[in-house]
Amino acid sequence: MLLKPATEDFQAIGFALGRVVLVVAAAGLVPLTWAVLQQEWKPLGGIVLMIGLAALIGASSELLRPEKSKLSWSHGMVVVALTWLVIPALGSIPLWLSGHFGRYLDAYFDAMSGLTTTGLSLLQDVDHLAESLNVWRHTLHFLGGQGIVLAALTFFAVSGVLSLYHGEGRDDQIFPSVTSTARFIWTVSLVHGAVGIAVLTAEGILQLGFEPRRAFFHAINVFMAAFDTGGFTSMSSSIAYYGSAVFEATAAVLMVAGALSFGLHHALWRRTQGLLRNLEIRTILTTFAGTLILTIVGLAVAGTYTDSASLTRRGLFQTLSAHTGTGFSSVPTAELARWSGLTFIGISIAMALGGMASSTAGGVKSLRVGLTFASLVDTVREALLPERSVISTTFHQTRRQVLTQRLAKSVMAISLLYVATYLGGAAVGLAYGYPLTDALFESVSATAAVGLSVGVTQPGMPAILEAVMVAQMWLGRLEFIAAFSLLGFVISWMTGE
Amino acid sequence: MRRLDLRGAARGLFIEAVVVVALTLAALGLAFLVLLLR
Repeated sequence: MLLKPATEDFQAIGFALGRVVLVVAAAGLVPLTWAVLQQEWKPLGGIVLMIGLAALIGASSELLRPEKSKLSWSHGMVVVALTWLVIPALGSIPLWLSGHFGRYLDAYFDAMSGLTTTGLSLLQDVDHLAESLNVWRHTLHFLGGQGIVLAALTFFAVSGVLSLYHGEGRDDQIFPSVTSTARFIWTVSLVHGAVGIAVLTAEGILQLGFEPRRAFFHAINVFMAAFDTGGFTSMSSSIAYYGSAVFEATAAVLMVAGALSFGLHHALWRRTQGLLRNLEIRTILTTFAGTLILTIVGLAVAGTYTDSASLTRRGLFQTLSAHTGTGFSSVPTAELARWSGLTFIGISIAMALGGMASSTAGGVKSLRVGLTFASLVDTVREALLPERSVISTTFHQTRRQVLTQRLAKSVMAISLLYVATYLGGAAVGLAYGYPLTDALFESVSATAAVGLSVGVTQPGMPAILEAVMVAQMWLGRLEFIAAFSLLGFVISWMTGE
Repeated sequence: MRRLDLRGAARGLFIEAVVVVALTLAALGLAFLVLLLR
């Protein structure tokens, strides 16, 4: 029998949600400052409205302050799932009021894409969007990549932090307390931000000939989109706009940094030995090498590029962009749509697999891929060895760990859910008449929070397909568990006693 | 993490840059080989 949630349950969830929403009010100060400095008065109204609404919701949540301050595990999961639906609704307000979207759903799609660090966009005429709104889109990447709930627990001391932390798809706890771990994550991001923005600004001025203010604007946007493996750009031609191999290489370093787990960042900073024994590192190196070979061989066989420099630059960058889940494109969408055969397979697999667990990247994640493979090997060994044999498989991830049945089951379940979502989204695309390859590519791109597009995602696309892609981005970023908790909560509310 | 570990941060960034350089060289070698054999 399901228990109907009591008033206290709603109070606890509403209070925590309100606290998290306050982050939007705080983050909105970034585009607000930019709009004031640039005297962009038209977008300022929408930004102020968003900040005001977020502050009002946050302040109102005080009325719901529960007697018991600690959130239960399931409440925390429900808060995370709701947060990732409510924040895009607030974040889309200034975007929608800009007049750059055909319908409200498009603005919500963009805000969800920003927050989930996907990078797919339905914005019309991005080249003429106000700078402050472009900064806001990229700030959404940063908030989402960091984990917006993580931001809330760092700055607004939300209680019941452990479930919130795990709900956003973070598994490794680098320090004993979640708050210390959150601080380390912010430190890593701010260090990369300071260095990345400085280098990109310098390249903008020295190599691209931008004036300093313009170089800085592009640098902060590219940093937030690259390090948080988002993929938005302030120009319609994506990273190809800059036409610079050095700029692309700098973005690539930030993309790689974004796809590394924060646990690995900690290990690199602390000069930890034996990193190559780590299952996740071995897996990502293997899958990256495999998908890179497929892409480059495919491009060469198709005769798309005939010199090794162009082949390397396009093939490597696109594979890196797909595998890290960034979605920057160094080739136009129309050209990417013509990448077929082995190249299509290479890029699609890279997108589907994604980066490391507890990083800013999406996809199945390398740790799950590695563990799934280890479980399969186990199953084959079990079948080949005598019946009474006892098989114990261990793997190295921070320390030597045993691959238990329970772990294998949970890893397989989440991996299968990703595959099912990839296929489900592709089926909807097929139903709307898109070719199988295009529908599958776009579905994987949305679920794995990549953002590469072969042209399905564009203004005027079917609203239902658009809504399905919004759901895919949401499910993929939350790695399903928090979404299922919300579903369970709603069912208990409706049918419980 | 009270104080910023500047040396650690520099090491991390350096390794990330080295990874990208290594990947570029590997991809360049592969591209050269594939075009040669095509």
